[in-house]
Amino acid sequence: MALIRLPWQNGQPEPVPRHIPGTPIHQIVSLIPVTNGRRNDLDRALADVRRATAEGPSSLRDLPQVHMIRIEVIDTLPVGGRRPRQIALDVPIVLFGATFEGNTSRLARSLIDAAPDPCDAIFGCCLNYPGKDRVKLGAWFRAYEITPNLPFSARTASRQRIEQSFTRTDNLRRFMTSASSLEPAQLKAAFLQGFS
Amino acid sequence: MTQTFGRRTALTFTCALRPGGATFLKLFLLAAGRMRWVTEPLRRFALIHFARWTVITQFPGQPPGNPPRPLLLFESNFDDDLDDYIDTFAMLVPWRFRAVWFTASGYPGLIPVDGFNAWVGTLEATPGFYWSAYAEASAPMVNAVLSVDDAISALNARAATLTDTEFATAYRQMLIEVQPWL
Repeated sequence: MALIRLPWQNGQPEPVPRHIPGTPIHQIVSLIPVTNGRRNDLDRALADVRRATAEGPSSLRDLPQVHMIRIEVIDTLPVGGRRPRQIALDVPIVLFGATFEGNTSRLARSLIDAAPDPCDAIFGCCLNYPGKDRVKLGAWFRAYEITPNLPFSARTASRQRIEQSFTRTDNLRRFMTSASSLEPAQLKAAFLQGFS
Repeated sequence: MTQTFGRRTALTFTCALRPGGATFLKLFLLAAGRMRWVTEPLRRFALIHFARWTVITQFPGQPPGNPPRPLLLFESNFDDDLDDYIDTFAMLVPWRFRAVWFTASGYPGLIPVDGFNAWVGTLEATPGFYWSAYAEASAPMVNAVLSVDDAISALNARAATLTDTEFATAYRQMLIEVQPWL
């Protein structure tokens, strides 16, 4: 398999990730070949992460400024014809997709800080994995990136704004009840104290 | 097989494209990205959080000719289950639905939807791991709290210019406006 020249090897600067227009949200989709002979290791690593996440608090359950992470494995490809048919890939591919804020170095840092061992276990099964260096890992994701022809996001707000909105909405529900008998001056003062 | 986290579902599948399908899709998706009205129903029906359509003619870092035929990679993150999702999609945006999927080899047609669901089932990627922030909140819930937050901020901004009585009136008016979202 031809090896591609990775950006840090050319001294290239941090590339700009795909930004979804009108939102603070960026995304990346990478198709990364699995290293020969590591397919079973990859399955075990993914099963371990799924089990850890399902059983309770997991380091991959809350990544700062990240809206969504998905990892899937493409083992077969569809071929044409009236009846769907699949052919097995010589080299399986890991699909890594993330929707996040900031740049890919920040995304990589979130992953490394939250889940260093799962990062090594999962991505270590893939070709040219650079290890837990946030700049190199971000560039590695970019090196295998594909560019969506149409990205769509219903989210137009940052994760911080969304979480703040949930909190303020809960606070308003409680305030409605506690403030129902306040005189106007008290109401105004209490509102400004609670929501400024 | 889809992946789920909280009430969020992730769907990923690839389909081979018919001759000419890649060119048509690239143009269609380019136009859809530039003409907001094409994707407006997706925002209005508030079932999808994120989605991506990608035409793949060459896998990065692999020898030329890989994949052997152009593919469409479709990824979506939505609330609740796959059957409801596809039913709703097909009902609300039928011509957009057909414009994309008729380019795919083996596309069984929109009606009956069961046939399309079964076709998708044969094409899905192997699930690995999926995580979504605020996963217990549906898309309409997220939109609702953002609207409430906007109303609170607007009242805050006006407060300094209002007398106490005017503020009380504005506060009650705000509650009436945000009531559907509380």
